[in-house]
Amino acid sequence: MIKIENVFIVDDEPSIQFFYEQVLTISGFKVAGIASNGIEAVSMFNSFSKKPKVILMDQRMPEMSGVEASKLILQIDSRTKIIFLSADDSVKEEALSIGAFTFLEKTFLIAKLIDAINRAIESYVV
Amino acid sequence: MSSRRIPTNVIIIWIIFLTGILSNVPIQTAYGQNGVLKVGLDKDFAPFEWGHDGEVNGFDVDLMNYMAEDLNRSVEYYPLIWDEVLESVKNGTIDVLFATDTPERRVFFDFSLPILYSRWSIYVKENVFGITNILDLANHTVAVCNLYASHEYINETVPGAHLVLVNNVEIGIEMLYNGEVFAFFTDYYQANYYILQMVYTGLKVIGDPVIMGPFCLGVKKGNHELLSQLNVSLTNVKNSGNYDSIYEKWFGTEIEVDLPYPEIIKFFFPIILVLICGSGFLLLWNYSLKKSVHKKTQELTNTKDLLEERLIELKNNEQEIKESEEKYKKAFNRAEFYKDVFAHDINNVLQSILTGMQVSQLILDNPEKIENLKINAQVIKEQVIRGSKLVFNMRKLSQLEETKMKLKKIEILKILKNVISFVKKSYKDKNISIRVNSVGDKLFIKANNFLEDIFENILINAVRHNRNLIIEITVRISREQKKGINYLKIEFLDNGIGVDDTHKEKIFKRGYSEEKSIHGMGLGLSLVSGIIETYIGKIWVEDRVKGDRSKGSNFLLLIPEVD
Repeated sequence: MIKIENVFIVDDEPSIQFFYEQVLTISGFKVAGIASNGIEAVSMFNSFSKKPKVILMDQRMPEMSGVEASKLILQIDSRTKIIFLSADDSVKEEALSIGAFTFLEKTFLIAKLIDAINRAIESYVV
Repeated sequence: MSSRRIPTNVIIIWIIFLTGILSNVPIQTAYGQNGVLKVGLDKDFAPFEWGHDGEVNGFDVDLMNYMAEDLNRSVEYYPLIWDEVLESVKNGTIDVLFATDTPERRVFFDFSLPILYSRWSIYVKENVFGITNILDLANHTVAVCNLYASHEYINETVPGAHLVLVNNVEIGIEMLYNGEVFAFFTDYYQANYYILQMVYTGLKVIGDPVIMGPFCLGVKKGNHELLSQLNVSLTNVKNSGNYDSIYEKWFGTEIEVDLPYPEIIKFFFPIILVLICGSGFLLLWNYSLKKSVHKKTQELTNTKDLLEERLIELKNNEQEIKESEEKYKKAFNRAEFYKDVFAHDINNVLQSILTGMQVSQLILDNPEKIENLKINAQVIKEQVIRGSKLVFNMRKLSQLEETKMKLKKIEILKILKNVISFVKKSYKDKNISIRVNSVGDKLFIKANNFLEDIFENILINAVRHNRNLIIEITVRISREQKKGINYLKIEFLDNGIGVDDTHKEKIFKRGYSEEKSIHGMGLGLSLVSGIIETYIGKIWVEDRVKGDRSKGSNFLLLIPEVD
């Protein structure tokens, strides 16, 4: 499998952003961009000429939460696969109900994340 | 007596007197050594005095006998027709007479102390009621002795009465007894005497009597010596008790005057009785009620006191419950806060460390990125420190609530510079400009090591919540006096995203609010606020440009300055 897909990172924690970026790069993905909050994420997603198929989305962020941002992003492109990565599992149901692809509760292993990204890409309808 | 016939033909009587009186033989019934006392009597005036066939009798005779005995004088009685008696005393041929004291008679006579009081009374059958005085006899048939003074009196006083004239008292009593008349208006003593003599029953006196005046002994006008002797004697006889026995002999015991309204009394008696009984019952009932009310009042007072005690107890309990509720609510919120910190902040730290470790492992298999290992190790180290700090801060936050921490004099600029350096190092990838404008080089406050946490939290937030390529932060330190206290005012002005007005107060209360939407703002500000309070200081946030949130925030601290 050729891993050249774009993945968009949305998280307000710099260290997480830093390590996710490395994980994705080492695993053969391209990082489409990094946003630190929901508003920034929607804005950046809207500006992408080539929309990333997968978004790694945090829930708790300043200004706009992951769920709110996901709703807007899915309105822009409903095919987008959003993988929720959050320590707050109380929003798991809500996230899945609005159309998130999956929900990974922190803390998780990289393998699990890569597996989720791969599955998301596979299920993406072109 | 006033009830005697009126002297209508004085001349004729005078002639009779002149030819008759001296021819009359006196009747001597008492003897004495102080001379003879000549007493004139009406020969036909029973029961007071009368004389027939050489005998005299009556109340007056008995009384005079006792008096003569007392005076030690002989008595000669002259029974005459009444007018003769009057004339004889006037001209001094007779010493004494018995008569009612009237103003007219006083012209010719002097009168002694009263023997008794002459009166006219109303006699009726005992089944008659409702007569209170002579006026009530109007429209009734009333017997009265013809030509007596009583006749003249009733004729004038009660013109409506149907008078039946009788010749003497005996006939009047008999007519009344036979039911021929409704009443008999006559002399009380005469009527009593005849009723006593004839043994009439079923008769009674009713209503008020008409008092005619005192019945006395009369002497010729000016005979004071004799009058004086008679008064002494009369008093002596009365005091001796002889008077009473004579009175009873001739007039019997007093006939009780009937009550004026016996029917009414009879009619009302049961009602009055019922009323009296009722009143008594009511009084008893009232007393019983009073007692009962008093008892109940006492009971109510006791109950009231008890209830008041209970109320105070309940209020105290309520207060305790409130305090307890408040305490547990705080404890619950604190627990929720700690849970949240662990679930989110600590997990994020752990996730960073875990991911960093795994990435580093992958790098070991991928030597071309080996240079990242150093950076990764540094980031992991920072995350470990961060996690440790988080736990440390939580413990301190808990202590803040339970104990007062010790403060010492600290120079703030030195601390601030260290923190700025740390923040810049933490966000190497960001273009951060932090400037400090201070009113002095060395500024002191009373604080502790947490001052570093305060600055760090505010600065990190300013960096994190900023979308600009160049993050600009200005720390402005000035002096301000409020209520006589000198403060250092430390302002952190940034060009970040700003804080919504609705969150300006809430951001300092994370974990103590049920508001979920402000999660993600970090543990810092609630900790900062708690620490500032222990410094007797204050923290709040404003828009950097008033009214325009988008231009960034200004976090302001006021902390008392010390020399």
